[in-house]
Amino acid sequence: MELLKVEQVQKIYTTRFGGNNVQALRDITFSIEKGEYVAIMGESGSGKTTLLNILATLDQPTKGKIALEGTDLGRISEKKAAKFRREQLGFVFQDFNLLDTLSVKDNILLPMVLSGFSHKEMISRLKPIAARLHITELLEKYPYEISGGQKQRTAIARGLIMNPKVILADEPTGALDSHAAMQLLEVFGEINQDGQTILMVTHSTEAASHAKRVLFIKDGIVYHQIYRGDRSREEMYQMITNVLTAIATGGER
Amino acid sequence: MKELYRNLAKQNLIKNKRIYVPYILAQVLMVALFYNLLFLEGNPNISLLPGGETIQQMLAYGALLMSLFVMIFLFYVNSFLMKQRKKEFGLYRVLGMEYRHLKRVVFYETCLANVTAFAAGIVAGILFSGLLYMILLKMLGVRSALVFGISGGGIILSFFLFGFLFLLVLLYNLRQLRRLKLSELLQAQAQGEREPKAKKGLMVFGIVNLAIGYLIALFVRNIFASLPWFFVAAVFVVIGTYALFTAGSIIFLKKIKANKGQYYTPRYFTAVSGLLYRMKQNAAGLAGICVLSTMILVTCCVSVSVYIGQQHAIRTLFPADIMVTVSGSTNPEQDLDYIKEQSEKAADQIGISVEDVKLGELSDVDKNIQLLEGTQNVEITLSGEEKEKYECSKLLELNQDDSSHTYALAHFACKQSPSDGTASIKATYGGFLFLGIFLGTMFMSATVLMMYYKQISEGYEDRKRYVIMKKVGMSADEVKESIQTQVLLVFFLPLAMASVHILVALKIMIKICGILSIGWGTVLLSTIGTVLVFGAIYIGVYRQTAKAYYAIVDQQ
Ligand SMILES: Nc1ncnc2c1ncn2[C@@H]1O[C@H](COP(=O)(O)OP(=O)(O)OP(=O)(O)O)[C@@H](O)[C@H]1O
Ligand SMILES: [Mg+2]
Repeated sequence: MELLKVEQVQKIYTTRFGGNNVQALRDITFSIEKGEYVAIMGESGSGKTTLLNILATLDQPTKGKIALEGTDLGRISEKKAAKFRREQLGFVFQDFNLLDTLSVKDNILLPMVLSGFSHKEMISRLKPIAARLHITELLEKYPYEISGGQKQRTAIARGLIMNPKVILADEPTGALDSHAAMQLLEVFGEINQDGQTILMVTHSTEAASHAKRVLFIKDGIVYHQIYRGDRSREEMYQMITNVLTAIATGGER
Repeated sequence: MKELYRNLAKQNLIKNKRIYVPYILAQVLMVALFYNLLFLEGNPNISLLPGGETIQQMLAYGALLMSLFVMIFLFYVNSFLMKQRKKEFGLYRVLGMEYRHLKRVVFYETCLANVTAFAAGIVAGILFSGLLYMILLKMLGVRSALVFGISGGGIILSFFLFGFLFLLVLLYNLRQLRRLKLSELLQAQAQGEREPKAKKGLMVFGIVNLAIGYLIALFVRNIFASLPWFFVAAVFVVIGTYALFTAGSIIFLKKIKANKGQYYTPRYFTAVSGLLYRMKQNAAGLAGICVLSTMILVTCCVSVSVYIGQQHAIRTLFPADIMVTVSGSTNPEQDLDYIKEQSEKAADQIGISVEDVKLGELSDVDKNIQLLEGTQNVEITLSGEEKEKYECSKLLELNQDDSSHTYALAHFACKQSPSDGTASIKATYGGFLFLGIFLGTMFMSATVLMMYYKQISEGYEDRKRYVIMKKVGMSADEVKESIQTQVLLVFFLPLAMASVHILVALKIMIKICGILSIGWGTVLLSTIGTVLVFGAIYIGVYRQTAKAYYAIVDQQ
């Protein structure tokens, strides 16, 4: 079943003082099925964050259409977009984006609180998620007291707590050491097994090789994509490396 | 090398202009005000005025009070600036600067900022001294021309005060630099993010202090003892306010937080957690704003009441234009006739007329002094200008010798000529108002500066949160609303508390003003007026500083 549909999306940043316009996205088209695990790769400045922000309704495309289960994201008001973001999407960012004024538990519960759930319901949802992410002991701590990997797992728990249709992750392993990054990817793998759709932007070939499909963005378009199919992770890793080399040397598709 | 440090220091100040410009401006204002206080205090023209010495004495007290306040306040602000810049210093260390290098940069920075402020302050002070001189004389009821003068003593004394302050600040800054370890320097800002503890003991301590202060203010009986008690009460209230703001707010918020059903709702969740954090960071600053606001209000209320009540006081203390005290009189009727005759003669000479001459009542003061048998007050009312009345009284005084010859038993004493009397009253009362406005200006600028810094420091913190909350699913309006509620609440808490303080202080203020023959109605009215005006100014300042806040928060 088709979950997310991106059609001919274009994004042009106009600088404030009439300077040069930057075309971050030229013509992006792709779609994501329910339960998929997709990684987006591309050079620095190729527009990955821009694309993710547009999908997250944090930014509007200059042209094109985005639909989540048929809902046109370009046509909802700022206020509705906030509710939509909270209820349909889960986020994981490179720099965690935890509120330093809230404990780990409260950070995770924030979206539920905003949506007006009862405290009982909150706790019953929190428990299994915290257990699966191994942060049950950390719930009463504050962000400054925990490690980067723990922060990222907290952020994932917050992303999952609303049972979102899709998890959007921007460089989730970017600020983590290799061990914490591995743990995180395992978690992503597990939740994807349970049926969670994940869209992850990454620089890391290692991270991308965990995904079931990898999209390559270059010059503002989807330049190439590969499916993992029945391949092993090592084979996938090799394939990604090949594509990246080809892109870097300006080779054929 | 020296050049390099100096340039770096200059650039640092420019880079941090958002926090340094207000600091320097405030210091300029303080220097200018202080210089002027000294200038007027030592001005020979003023000491020649009727009642001039009284007012100069008041100004001297004012200068003492101000120097104390300036020291504490500017030192506090400086420490705030250093705290804000810890991270920056940490970065310099990481980039390879050693302590001794950094020390020199900070040395030059401190010199540059303080010397500039001092020089500008003195220049501004000199430029405005003529104007202030005129305003003071006007309040004393004397007309005068604009004069221009420089007080060498004023400059030297200001130099000593601010020089001493400068040394303190410099030592503090260098000590701060040395005491911090590199890791701490870099984490300085993350330190504040610990969850605040609920200090029950401190809250009880605060309540007890506040209660003692209030009780003293409310139940002091003796009028003449009320002035020193006022200060004792003030000290208790200040301590109580600090303790209550720091501990009380957090305990209150934690209580809400403990109630899960209430806390985990959109209305309370972000606001309470945000406020907890905010109060921890700003409780002391808020208590400071509250205390300063109270000081402004008390100063202005008393000064305004005194100034407004002046006419009434003059009338009760000096019911007539001239009062003649006759002692040892055996025949009051005859004395009265004689005085009438004498005063008419004197009035004729000046060219005015006598309206009424009558026996007056003895005042409380007169009754208290053991007087000779047969003492009488004779009240003379004249028509004409103040100046002419004054001359008339002088003439009458001259004729006194004459009269004692004619009436061997009666002694005429022109107790107090009207202008002398009203002039000294006007000097005291006008001096009160002048000093009140002077100190009020100082306290006000301090308040504005603290509000501004509070907004700025919070702005930087809130910006990050603002962005995160938006990403996690709050709409821009929701975020703004949540932040606005917090900011407003935090801002008006000190004003509300200050109003309560004033309400309690009202009684003691009425008593103090009573000494000066000012009715409670006047005090009440001028208090209401002052609170309203102050409230308006406070809101205005809030709006202006909020602009600075939103400019930071909305930055991309
Ligand atoms: N707010 C903005 N205003 C103007 N130009 C922008 C803005 N945000 C991004 N850009 C430009 O758009 C292009 C794409 O940026 P984007 O952040 O999407 O890249 P990215 O693929 O995420 O890079 P990286 O891998 O380094 O994170 C860049 O050229 C960038 O300079
Ligand atoms: Mg990016």
